[in-house]
Amino acid sequence: MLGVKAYAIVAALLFGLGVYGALARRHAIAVLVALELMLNGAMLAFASFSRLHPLAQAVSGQAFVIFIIAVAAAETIVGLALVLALHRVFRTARLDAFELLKW
Amino acid sequence: MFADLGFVLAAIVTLAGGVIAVGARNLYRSVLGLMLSLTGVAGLFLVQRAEFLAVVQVLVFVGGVSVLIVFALILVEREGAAMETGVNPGLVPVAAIVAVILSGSVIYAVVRSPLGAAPPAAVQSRDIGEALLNRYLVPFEAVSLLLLAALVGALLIAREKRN
Repeated sequence: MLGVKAYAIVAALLFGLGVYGALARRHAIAVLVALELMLNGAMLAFASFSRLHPLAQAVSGQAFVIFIIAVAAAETIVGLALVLALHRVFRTARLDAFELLKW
Repeated sequence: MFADLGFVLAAIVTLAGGVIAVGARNLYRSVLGLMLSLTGVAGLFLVQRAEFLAVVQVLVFVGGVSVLIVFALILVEREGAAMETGVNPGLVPVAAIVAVILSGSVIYAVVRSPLGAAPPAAVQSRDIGEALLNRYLVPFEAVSLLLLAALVGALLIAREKRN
């Protein structure tokens, strides 16, 4: 059984990929996809580190993952609704087209 | 040994899916890469014997969230050239630097840390259910309220306004 380190490294790489995508992608939906990657990296870290708890039946880490999943689903719903609303106003969902706040 | 092989396979699927999700120019490919990556994360849960999390991951993320994103994609973009969007060239260096710093510092800290081998999780679905309805009852109810608010709010935001 590999240690927690390997899992934590995968989680960090997944999070890094998500950060890059969320900052650099040009389309709002692509940014939401990258956000999902970041959340999954965090979930993986929670689930892996919970194995280090001295109590074998420690449930907190996995309960946290359940809560993260619920919050991520809510966040995606609202994000996609915002994308649809923006698309109605601007006729596009490309982020560089939203320039109402630029001077 | 078997678990190590499973870990390597699931990790490769996860990271390859993540690279596709972030790197593909076509938005559909991007979402498909996301699905691949989420399935890989479910595999990583499974290898650690967190079966309940793996099932929930597949149900909610692969089955729900990804399909929702595909639906939004159908509503927002037409097929063909509009699906092709890349990265913002001016932001690539900043994004790459931030991502490498965040991810690299975590990896550095993990590699340097004295974390040893750990047994697989011995948590059963029953334990999680009992914890959710005893110790974590208040957060559990708060999350259900959050889901309701997100549902109503999303309808309100995305609705077409008619006079």
